[in-house]
Amino acid sequence: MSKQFLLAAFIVILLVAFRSREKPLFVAPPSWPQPHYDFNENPLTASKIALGRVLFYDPLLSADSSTSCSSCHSSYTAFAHTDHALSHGIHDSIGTRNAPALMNLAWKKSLMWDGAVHHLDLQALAPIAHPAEMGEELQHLTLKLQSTGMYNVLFKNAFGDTLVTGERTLKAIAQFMLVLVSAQSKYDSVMQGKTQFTLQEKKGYRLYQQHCSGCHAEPLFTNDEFAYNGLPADPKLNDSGRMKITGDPKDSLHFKVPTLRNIEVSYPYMHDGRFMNLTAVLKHYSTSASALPLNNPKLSLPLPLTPADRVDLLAFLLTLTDKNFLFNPDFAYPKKIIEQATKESERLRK
Amino acid sequence: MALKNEKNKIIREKKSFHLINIQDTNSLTISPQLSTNFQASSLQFFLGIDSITNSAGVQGGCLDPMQGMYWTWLSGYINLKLEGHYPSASTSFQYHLGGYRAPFNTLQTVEIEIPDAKYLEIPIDIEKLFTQAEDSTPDHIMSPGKEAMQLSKLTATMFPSSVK
Ligand code: HEC
Ligand code: HEC
Repeated sequence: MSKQFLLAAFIVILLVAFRSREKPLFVAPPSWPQPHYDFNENPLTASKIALGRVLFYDPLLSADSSTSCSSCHSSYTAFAHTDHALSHGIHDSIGTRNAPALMNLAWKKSLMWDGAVHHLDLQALAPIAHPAEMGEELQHLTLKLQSTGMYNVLFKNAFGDTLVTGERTLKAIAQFMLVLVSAQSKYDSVMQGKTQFTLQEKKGYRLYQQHCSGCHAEPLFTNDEFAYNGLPADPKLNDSGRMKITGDPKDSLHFKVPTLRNIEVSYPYMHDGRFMNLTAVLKHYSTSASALPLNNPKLSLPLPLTPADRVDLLAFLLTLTDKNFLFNPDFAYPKKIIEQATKESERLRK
Repeated sequence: MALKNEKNKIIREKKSFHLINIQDTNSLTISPQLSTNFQASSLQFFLGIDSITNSAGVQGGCLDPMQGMYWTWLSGYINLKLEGHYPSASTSFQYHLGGYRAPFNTLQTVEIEIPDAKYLEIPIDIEKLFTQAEDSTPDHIMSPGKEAMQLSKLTATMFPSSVK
């Protein structure tokens, strides 16, 4: 009798231990707002995320197999495109906007600098079809994937059979993008009481709260709205921003407020990548008058920031760098997954 | 897709989405999942995709973006694609009509009086669109907006008001 009881207890303990070792696929930091993305419509699974990750890194997604999502969104730079102001795509064509950093996408109500895309699932369509980015058609892409042995394995793992559809492809890519959560910067540790700001960072934090948090709001460091921050329009690009979507002249030159998380590494800055470093950004905010009327109580330019203030503010911005995010092996090129799936598909062919 | 009877009672097809592609003869016959013992007097459907479906995430079947009826650079379904050449002139026309955001919601409602029959043939008269369009209508409309809205309003007239 007591032997049986012992055995039962043993099994329970084992199960519990096993359970807690499994990492959850997505963790919303406790103090953050609820994610906007409806996970019930596209429930996360490890195999779908794996498929999405392979797709994200695969140049097969472009018409001439030259360009993958990661060509413009590199994990080490918070998935931004750092060597060019305007991102480069196939045939060396140059787009008209700077590739934004990708993180905390589950909290976004709309995507792109002008909000042209309203749902993360449908985001990947834009670069895949854009003639200056990947120049491919979704229908044709599904045929290419269907005839690739490795993808037969990965689609079967993810969806139960090897059928490739546009819906499945896009949902898998969305799953990988959803797990790109950055919430482990020094700033976050300070907020959790695990560490402290230096005096300089603390001064910078106060300046940020005073001048920047109206738009780049905590904890996501963006209010996810569209705003005008006083930059003159680039006459060559003639990009009217949000107005392109709404047709409302009030939205002219309004762009999505970008997050300041990992801002240290996601240069160049602004929708057209006009500033190469943060010093130049802070110079804009503190020395330029607004090119057009701001009409926004959250900002009046130039901001009264002394050169010393700017150094403090910069020190604070650097506390938003999240090394765990940038060097997370789960977000890097999926060498192991690709090797395993390729081996499995060769085994099946035999 | 919905059926109405003389007493104004309406039955609707669930998850009712049908894609008609002139080049694919299979798609020209639709078998809606609707009760057959309903004495219908009219047939109702939307020409295009409602705003709730438009605002949702990616969907499958005939709503799968790989069907080519979804804009890529802007979220939203294309309700109607019509492309071709004018025989007289060397110009081509290309209409991708859609858009679901106010004030340019292009969704149209069609209602056709029908006899109580198991099989119906509904003609579509594309010429109506061209004869009624304003002279100022451009040859290419590829995005949501005022022009797409104006032309979309005429699309319902391609359908007859009743069939025998
Ligand atoms: C040629 C470079 C390039 C490629 C390739 C590329 N992107 Fe982008 N990406 C951009 C640019 C530029 C933008 C901003 C475009 C805009 O706002 O109009 C962007 C925006 C995005 C956004 C919106 C982020 C936000 O915060 O609004 C996401 C998500 C994204 N890309 C994911 C992807 C995925 C997934 C792929 C692969 C299927 C991909 N990108 C391929 C350049 C690229
Ligand atoms: C009125 C709202 C608003 C306020 C206040 C504001 N910003 Fe911005 N910020 C924006 C918008 C909008 C953009 C994008 C503009 C564009 O691309 O044309 C932006 C862009 C940036 C960028 C570039 C980010 C990137 O990824 O390209 C940085 C850095 C930045 N802001 C820092 C700050 C700092 C620091 C402050 C306070 C001193 C501040 N902002 C105050 C709205 C604001």
